[in-house]
Amino acid sequence: MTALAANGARAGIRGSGAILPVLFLVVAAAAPIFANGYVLEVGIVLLMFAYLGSSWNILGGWAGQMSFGHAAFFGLGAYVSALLWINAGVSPWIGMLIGALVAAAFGVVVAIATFRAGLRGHYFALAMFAVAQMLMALFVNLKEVAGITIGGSEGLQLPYTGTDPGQMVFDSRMPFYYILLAMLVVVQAVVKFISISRFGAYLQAVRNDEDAAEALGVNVFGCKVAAMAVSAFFTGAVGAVYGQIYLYIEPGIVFSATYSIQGLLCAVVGGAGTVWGPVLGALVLTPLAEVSKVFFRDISGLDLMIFGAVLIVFVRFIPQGLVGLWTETLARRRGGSRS
Amino acid sequence: MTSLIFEALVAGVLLGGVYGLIALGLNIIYGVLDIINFAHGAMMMMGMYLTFWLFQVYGIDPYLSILIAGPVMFVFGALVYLFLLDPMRGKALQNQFLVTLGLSLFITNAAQVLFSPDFRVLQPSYGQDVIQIGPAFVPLTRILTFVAALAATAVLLFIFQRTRLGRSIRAVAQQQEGAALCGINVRLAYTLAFALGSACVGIAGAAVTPFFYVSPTVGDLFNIASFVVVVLGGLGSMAGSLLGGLVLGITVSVGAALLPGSFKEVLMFAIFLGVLLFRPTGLLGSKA
Repeated sequence: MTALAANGARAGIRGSGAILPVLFLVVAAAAPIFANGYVLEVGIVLLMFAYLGSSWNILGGWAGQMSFGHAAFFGLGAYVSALLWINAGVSPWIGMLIGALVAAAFGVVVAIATFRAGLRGHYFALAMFAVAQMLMALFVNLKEVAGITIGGSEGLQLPYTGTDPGQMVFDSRMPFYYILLAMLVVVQAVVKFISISRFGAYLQAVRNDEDAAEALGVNVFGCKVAAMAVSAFFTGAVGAVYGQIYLYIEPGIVFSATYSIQGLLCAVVGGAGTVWGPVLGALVLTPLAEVSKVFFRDISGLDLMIFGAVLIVFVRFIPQGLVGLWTETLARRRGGSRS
Repeated sequence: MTSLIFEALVAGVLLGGVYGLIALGLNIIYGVLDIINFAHGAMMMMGMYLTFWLFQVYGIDPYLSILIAGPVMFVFGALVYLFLLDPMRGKALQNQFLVTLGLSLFITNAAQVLFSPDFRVLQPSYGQDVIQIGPAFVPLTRILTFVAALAATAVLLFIFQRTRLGRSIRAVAQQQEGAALCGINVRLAYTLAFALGSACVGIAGAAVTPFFYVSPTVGDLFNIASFVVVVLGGLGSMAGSLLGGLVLGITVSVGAALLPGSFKEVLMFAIFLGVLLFRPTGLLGSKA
């Protein structure tokens, strides 16, 4: 049941040093200065993709437990933060943290239930899919609970207060771009740390062969639950930011399969179980979606249709992802020059 | 109240027949290939659109379309297997699962691009007819669909249990190498298994169109239903699929009668998770 990630994919990126990541950061940080509104909008989508991909990757790539239902955490983060803000006046900055913690706690409960039951591979992916779909169905049906408006299928309108940094409300998109960029830096730092830590080594052992890892004394169950918690935490946090950007959330969107699959897609295309794979995946996929939108205006579904095709092509021909492909090519070239 | 529940019970049994057929298709594919076909629901949606347009454009009766949708999806399934899944045989099963996820994404959104996200309803002239069974009034279309699903299931079971073709597929499912040594074409057997599983949803799709709306995402509903039924009835057990179909059909329809709003969807997912979690792991683990 070895997942997609190719062994050795990590070493190559480390080999190319910190130059590329720093370059990416500099370009990303400077981009809005030169960009117009449209490019900024695309930039926000790209950062969101990359962030979701890296968050998903902690569980799906590093620990090898593919989830088809990360939208559950995204939606929970969005709703918790929004409800706290609307009903208790809690600033979304704090709401984001609480939303992330709630998502992580929920993730732990789901992880304990599913992993205790021994769900692996297909079954875990399907169970996660059902969890997200069930939350969506639940929130669609919840109009009001104990006097608190949940909104049902119509969703929730978040209050617009005019630019107010303390409430994470901005007239311009620019601040959100930098918020997402900062969050991406955090999640990348965490993933980088995991990749060189003992915990990361355990996760890879779990991914490659659970039974062997268990036999070697790795606490497989604990590792998987921890990976889920971290993965869910970060996914939940960005859900709250989503609510602040659009000031409107509805169950049909925040719990939708779209948010589950985008993370998975970026990770698989870029290279599951690698530090930079999801970012690379987002860099490839976002322009693809935008190009399709520009050339075929107003055809809804076309971008997802293309994503479906990309997923098929990658899993079929480049299952190790772009990072894996890059390292393999490097290794081959080095091997060739030596002989 | 009792008549309401009786009515729901009858509706549940009738719906269960369809669930059974869909799940049978998923089960054949899983039982033989070890692949959970995530695109199962999306392929059913294809069958539904085909039936809808055949009726709309050529006036072909939806029940007659079963004879078209079944073979069309059979061929589609064969092509999917040959071009997408067969080249990956022997590789990590998760990758094949991901391919079916990509396929589902592709088909669903292609339908959205081609036909818009609108809900469409097919209205045959007999669409409103009802038949009285005891205290319950049951739409004629539900009964016809149930009969059609049962007939298709019977034909499939016959193919699997009594024909040479079915025996060879089952042989490959049990022991791939042994079957190959006996001169069975393994690739052909796998292709036929996937094609037959796909034909099931083609038939089921055509059969439900007289009373079920058609939309690009309609397959999601049946996708989950078929996973539930397969896990409920037992993987690889064809009789289990039918029984599981009936159980789910009755639960959902009685639940819908008793619960407010659209909580029946929550119920469906809850059953699914419950079955996944509390079923002995032995039944869940793949053969590999």
